[in-house]
Amino acid sequence: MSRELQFLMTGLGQGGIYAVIGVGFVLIHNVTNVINFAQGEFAMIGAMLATTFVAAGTPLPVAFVLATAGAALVGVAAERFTIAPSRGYSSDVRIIITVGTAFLLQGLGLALWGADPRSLPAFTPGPPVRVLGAALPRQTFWVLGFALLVGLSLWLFFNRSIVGKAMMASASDPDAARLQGINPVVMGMIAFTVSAGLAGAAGVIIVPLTAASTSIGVPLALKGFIAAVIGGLRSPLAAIGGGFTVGVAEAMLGGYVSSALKSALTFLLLFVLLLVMSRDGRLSGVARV
Amino acid sequence: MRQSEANRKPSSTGYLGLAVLGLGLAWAVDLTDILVPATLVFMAFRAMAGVGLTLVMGISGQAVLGQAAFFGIGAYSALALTADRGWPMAATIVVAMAISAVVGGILGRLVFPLSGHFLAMATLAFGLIFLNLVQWAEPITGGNNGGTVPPIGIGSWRFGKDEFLGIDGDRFAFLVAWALVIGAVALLDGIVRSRSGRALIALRSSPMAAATSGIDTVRARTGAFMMSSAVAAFAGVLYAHFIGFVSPDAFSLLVSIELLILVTLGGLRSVWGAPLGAVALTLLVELTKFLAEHLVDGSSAPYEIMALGAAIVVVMLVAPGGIASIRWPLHRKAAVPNTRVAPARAAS
Repeated sequence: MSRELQFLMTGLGQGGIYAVIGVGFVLIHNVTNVINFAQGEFAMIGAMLATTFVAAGTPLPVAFVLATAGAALVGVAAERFTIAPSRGYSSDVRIIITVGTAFLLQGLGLALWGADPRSLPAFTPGPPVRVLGAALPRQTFWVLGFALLVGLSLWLFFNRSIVGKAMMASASDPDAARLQGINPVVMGMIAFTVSAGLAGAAGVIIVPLTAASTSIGVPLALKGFIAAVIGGLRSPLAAIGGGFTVGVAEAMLGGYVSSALKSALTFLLLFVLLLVMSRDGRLSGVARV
Repeated sequence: MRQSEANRKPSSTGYLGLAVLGLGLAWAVDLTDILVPATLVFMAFRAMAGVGLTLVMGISGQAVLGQAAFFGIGAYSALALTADRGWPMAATIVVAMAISAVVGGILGRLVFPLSGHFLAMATLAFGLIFLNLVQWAEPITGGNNGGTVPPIGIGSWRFGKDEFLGIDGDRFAFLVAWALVIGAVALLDGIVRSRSGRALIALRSSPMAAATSGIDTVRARTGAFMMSSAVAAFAGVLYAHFIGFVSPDAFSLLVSIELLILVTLGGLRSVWGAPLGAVALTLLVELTKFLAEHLVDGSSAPYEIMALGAAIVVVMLVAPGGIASIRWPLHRKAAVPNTRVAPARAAS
């Protein structure tokens, strides 16, 4: 029992990050219809900024806020310089543009911070908490709490606030939205800022659990995307669920089957899951041609 | 206007003429004095893998982010079959292309019924799965250390090393590799002009309309993807034999991205996009390396990645049709009708 619980909790902890990245995909996709490949790089930048600030003597909470703001700023810049000018281009061209942005950012990160993994102290120091025989690092609870908080607040934002509804409107029909006085360009900027900020914050929170390097972006983006798709690509709350699913699947496969083949098996399983779900027509966000 | 352009079909011999001219020029200025010969040959292998990618991405309009894995299937087949089991290279090529096509076929069958960005993600995941498998299957692949592959040769003569009819090895390899690229381009040109090629182009502009006209969209796209995967495996086998060494680094995600850049840079809608892109990409990488070595301390790798990323963004924003879409005076004759159109702009 303790072994199962250990895997489950480890998976949930890791999955919380995928969840938040996945929410970012949903947010940007909801508003701009772009699948933003650079999503994982925002997390990398958050993580790297935080480790740099802490190494320079900044208190951890301040470093957290600065890193989040930094990632958000990079997000705005990405939107302004790459996404906004590509308005009206076909979606495959825009996806390729975000791939370019991702590599631009990864190269920038590599030039600034090198390839070595970096670490941070846990947000609340102390020995692991024992739950039913499983030992859980305290940081796991930060990750879980953050993921749930993000999911809930975005759900409220989209369903209860005017700005959130305006964002949804500009995604489903930009022209109709414009007639209602909604500016889709501004909505796109907001979406990128919030997504990048969230990913940046997620990047900081994960560093105490698993050391981060400048190459974490692409795998994070891929797993976050899968999380978003499992959740249907439309609902932030469902993306949170998708993120936890990805994390738990990864931990279970790594723990029970083979740790050397962990990433191959995870992608394979998720791929199959994705196909099965989309075949049943359960994925609202997946258009069938 | 478009109709009249379509009627003025440039013949394939026109292409060959141009290509031969290009090769002759390269020969005359003797590029091998300026660039490392291996770079030039490598450029050709990348162009070859890129030609396959053009078929899928440019003609049928689907993004592929894991092409390096198919390239890798070829290279690792060379390692496992020719090097370790003593197979003749021709047999290895056939097997590698078959494996690659089957994998591509399965992926395509599963993914193509879904909308556009799924192929991008599925091939990306496949690329990562491939790397993980390579690291895991250490007895066959040599894991992270890789393994060596003997050069192609007849008797004591070795391709790329020894001179052939007075032409030194490097230059001969360069010529052969680029001749193969031209062959691949001619093949692609033939496909584009064929009935299935027209079906793929119809699919790109409107999947719905294509399906209504009786085109099996999944089958057409899967066929294109299988062919592209097989061509990449072919290039991979040759690459392994020429470079003489196979390791996971040569098939990483970055290489897939380089291939993606190569075809977009050159022009997704032109059969000449991949070779043009390979030349442009090589120049970009070499220039970045040169600048980085002279201007900053340490490795030039981060700057190469940055340059690649920036190149994609800039080309896509400024000329989504790539270099081939820029209307040079000479270019009018070399462009493929119907395939020069820049990516469709959405109605809104």
